[in-house]
Amino acid sequence: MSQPAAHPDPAANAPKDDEVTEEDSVNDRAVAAYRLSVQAGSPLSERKLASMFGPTSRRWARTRIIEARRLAAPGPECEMPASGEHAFAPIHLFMMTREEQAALLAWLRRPKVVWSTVTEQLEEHGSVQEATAGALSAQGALFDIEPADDVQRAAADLERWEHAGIRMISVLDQEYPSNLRMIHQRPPVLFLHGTIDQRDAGSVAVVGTRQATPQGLDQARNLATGLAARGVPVISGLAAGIDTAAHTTALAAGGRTVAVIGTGIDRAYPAQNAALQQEITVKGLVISQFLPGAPPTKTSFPMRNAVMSGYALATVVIEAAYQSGARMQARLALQHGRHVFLMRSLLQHDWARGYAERPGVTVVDNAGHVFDGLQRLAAQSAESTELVWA
Amino acid sequence: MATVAELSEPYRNHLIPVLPPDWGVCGVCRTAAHPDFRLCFQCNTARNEFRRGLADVVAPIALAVKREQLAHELWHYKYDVDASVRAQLTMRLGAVLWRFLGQHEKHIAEAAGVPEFGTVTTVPGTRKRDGEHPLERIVGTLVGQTKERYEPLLALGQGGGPSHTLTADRYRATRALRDEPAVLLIDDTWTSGGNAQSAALALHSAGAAKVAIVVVGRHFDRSFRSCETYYQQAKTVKFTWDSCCLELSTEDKTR
Repeated sequence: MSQPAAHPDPAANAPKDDEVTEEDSVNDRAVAAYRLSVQAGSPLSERKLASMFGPTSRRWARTRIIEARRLAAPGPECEMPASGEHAFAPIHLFMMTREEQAALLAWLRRPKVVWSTVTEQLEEHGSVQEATAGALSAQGALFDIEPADDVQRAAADLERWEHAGIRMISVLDQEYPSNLRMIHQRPPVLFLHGTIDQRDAGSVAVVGTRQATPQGLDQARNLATGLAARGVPVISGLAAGIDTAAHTTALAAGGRTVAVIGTGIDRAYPAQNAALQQEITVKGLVISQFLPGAPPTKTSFPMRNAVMSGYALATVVIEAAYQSGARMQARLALQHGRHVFLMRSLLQHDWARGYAERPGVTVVDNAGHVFDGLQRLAAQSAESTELVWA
Repeated sequence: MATVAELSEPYRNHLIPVLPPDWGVCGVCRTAAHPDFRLCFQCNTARNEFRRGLADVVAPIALAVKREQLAHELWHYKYDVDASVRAQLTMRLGAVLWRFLGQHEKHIAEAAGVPEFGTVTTVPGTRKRDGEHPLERIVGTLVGQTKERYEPLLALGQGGGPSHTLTADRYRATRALRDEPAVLLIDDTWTSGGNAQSAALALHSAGAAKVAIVVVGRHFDRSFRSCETYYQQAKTVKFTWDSCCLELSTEDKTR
């Protein structure tokens, strides 16, 4: 059968234009120029930097500025803060300005705003200011809301949250975790309470059921103790059961933990873990991708699982039924290209036996096995410049 | 040092293969077409406009579904603000390309009717760049299968226009190719095919006898017309490094 002349599909997939990127040597010179301008006390603007290096975009210049600021940043804090010492991450020069934060927050609060679109817009423009400017004016008109009002309210809220130790970072911020940038479900902003630590790039998410068995709790405790002893940060939710066991044991062993929660960061869910959450803000980090005040919902925990998978280098599943969030996180991690460790006892479940056959899944017995696997994964994700077949 | 096997293996968990040519599946780029057609609109238009000079073979490794992991990586390996993210994704996508070509370049050569490809090149970006494109780094430096045969054969030509349109002079060959029986042309993403097919036209015009295109991801928007039906069908087909789109059969690869 021949192809008919008239085709009914005149607007096939939208085109994707190329964009200007950069050459290493030009990049290096631009980064150096920016650093010199900072040292001289008059930092170059994006526009100025772009114009200095020929036919480049402001987005390109923005990237160079971020790289320059990264180079100038103080090293990661390697020592755990002393118990009781409140240790907010230092505010770096290259965080969003308060105006940018307020505009972004106001945008996210607008009705019917799709957050994944916000992420894409931020990345596409490479600038909070540019991405928010159009969105706020257009939607302000649409909903008859004066942009200035909600931006001012957002600024006041940010101020109030900051007094409580809560910061907001965007996907364009230098502090936004690299691991999380690499997955498609990265949220546009994160709310943080506590310290970001470079060691988190090699962290492990420990997940499991709320209705844990004594054996499951023992496994979680043994694993958390072993990981803490090896300096591996433990990432988990803040639910009862496995999550709580992982956090409390790792903290007791002097380790670092990060709690990724499914509500606004100023809420504790379940309420009985409020004290634990507070302790983690002091000794580690609490992360939420939701607006402060957001209640738990049916969809928020799966979304949280995606972020937990993205934040960690790998996920360990301790004890999980077919319908559990822990199994869901294993599935998400594999979709993200992340490694999954399954405790051997899980093989009693059909789903776990199926997962154990998949690439990127290792069945383990103890923390030592997980640690060995992590070493191999860390070597893979290191910035090696050569690729070999095997 | 990163190995191809380690970096590419996890992709089996989330890559979605393109479907074999059929009614409703484009026989060139393998995207969803109208159920009554065997070519998508773009490929049909290209064939009507340019009877000769288009690629002899087009082989997408997988679907790059909008807002899913592969599409994310194919954008961020070039444009992420974080240099470490760009570096890691470049290595991973390099491993994907090497793994695929290591197992299937011979199939692509067979489909093109040549014993092998003497030269490998990439589709240049359509805007001016000062230096090495990350794809050039992948094909010319990282991938052992291609780096010895890599040559940047194409430069921007006089033709402008949006990248989704096919233009005979968007690119020009940097040298005559009358002594090149076959060129393997690599691109990261095929959206409309405008860039890749324009590059194929330039290579053929310069004398290349055969041009085969390999793209890592065939851009795919589930929300577009009949794409969701195609997507659901493709999801039932297990991705494996042992099969490529030139030999895949849905009957024996169903999950």
